[in-house]
Amino acid sequence: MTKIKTVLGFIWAVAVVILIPAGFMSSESLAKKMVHASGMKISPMYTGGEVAKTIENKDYTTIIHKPVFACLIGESQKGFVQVVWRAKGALPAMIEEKIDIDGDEKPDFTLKFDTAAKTASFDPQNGVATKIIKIYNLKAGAAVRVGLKKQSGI
Amino acid sequence: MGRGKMPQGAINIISFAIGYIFFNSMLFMMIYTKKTDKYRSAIYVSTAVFFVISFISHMFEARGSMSFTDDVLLGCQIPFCHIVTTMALVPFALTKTIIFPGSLLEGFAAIGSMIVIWLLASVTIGRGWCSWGCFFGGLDEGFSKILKKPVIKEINPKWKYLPFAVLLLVVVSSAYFLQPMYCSWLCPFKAVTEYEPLTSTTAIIKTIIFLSIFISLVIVLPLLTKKRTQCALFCPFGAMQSATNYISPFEIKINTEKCIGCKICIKNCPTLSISEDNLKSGKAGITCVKCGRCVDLCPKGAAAYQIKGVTGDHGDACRTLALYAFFMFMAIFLGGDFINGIQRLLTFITTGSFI
Repeated sequence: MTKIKTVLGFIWAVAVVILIPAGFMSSESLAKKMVHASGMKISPMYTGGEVAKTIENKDYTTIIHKPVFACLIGESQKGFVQVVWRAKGALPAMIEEKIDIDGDEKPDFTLKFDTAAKTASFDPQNGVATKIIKIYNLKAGAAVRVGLKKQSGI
Repeated sequence: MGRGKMPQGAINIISFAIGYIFFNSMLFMMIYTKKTDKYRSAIYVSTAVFFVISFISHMFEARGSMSFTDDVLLGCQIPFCHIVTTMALVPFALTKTIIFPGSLLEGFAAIGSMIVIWLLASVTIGRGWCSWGCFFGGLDEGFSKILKKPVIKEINPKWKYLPFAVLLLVVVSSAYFLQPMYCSWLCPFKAVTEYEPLTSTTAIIKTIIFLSIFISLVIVLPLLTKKRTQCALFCPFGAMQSATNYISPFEIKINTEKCIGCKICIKNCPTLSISEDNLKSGKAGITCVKCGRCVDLCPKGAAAYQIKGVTGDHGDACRTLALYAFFMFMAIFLGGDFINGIQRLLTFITTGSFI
């Protein structure tokens, strides 16, 4: 029995010595297979979620993401919506965007962004939007995350 | 070591040659002198220094600063570090998402490749990662080697369980907040890699925490104790990686018949992984990083690299196989950073700029 264990131990150790260079050489293709097979994605907490709507304006493009209510299990009661403005040249001094979260064709709040001061505010049309969570200063544009409260229809 | 490409240009060729000769001569010395830790440490510490030079130069080249911009953050282009794995596994299992603003497959230190390399390390070298694979560990190891004798001679061995508490804390909090909490609040290596721009009070507080932990655990305590205090007393990745010591075929065994109880191994273990109980049981503790220091220092040759399951007089074969596995991992994974660091240094010497 001890001889068998010794032989198996050596086989295992030799296999490891072979596995290391083989693993590194195929790490990229293994990574691709792992990502595709597992359905791995970056959390919407970082990507901002899927894009819901893109609006082409004269000087900039507005990208409105789908609301994110990320939670470890199920959905959180608190979330956010990310709005990105990509400048074609320079962003206008003031941007106003009517945001429809639930897709009922009625705006849930109007988002205002002061380009020079880099400040954002919103006029609530209902209780969905809660606060400005974060403003991102991008090289060509800006992005804002607005806090949301989970309501039916969202 | 050349990351699959032949080096082009004088500086790149010289850097590659230096790296290649240095790594291989250290392996030769390990085999020729039968001493492991001294030569491993020479590679490990210098690689950590060159990694920092290489990483910071990359950051300045790509962004003009060590702090990341909002474009990088929203574009999910932050390089993925192995420590994030500890916090990413539970959210991934439940949401299929990775709670880190990095790229899955594209670019520098992509998440997919880093996870594959972590899995590879786990099944091959186990927690040997912490002495042969981690590009940060060489920093506190380097500081721990500066003084000849420790100023603080005794550390309560119970402290070695602290990383398990840190691991539990960051796993639970990261799962709750869906944020890598260690990276956001505790990682000392932000001080030498990249950090949030100091544009808010929160970011300033975080930076003070990063710097304080870096100075205390990576510089001051290793200097005073001659232990790898960040790795032994704080790192959650090391704690998680301890479990993979059960999978790796290589371990440190202590021959209880040869052992004379001099406790040199206990005093000198950089991660507090050997206790009197371990001497009795004949096996290093679960937190063993397989650096080989106890093997080198044992006056009776009682401590040795061993392959699990192997019995009888196979000491040399076990050590040689273990060395090849550890060294190969180190050369492939860290060699590129070493060479790039040399290249940046030579560029600096010849042009006055690291970029």
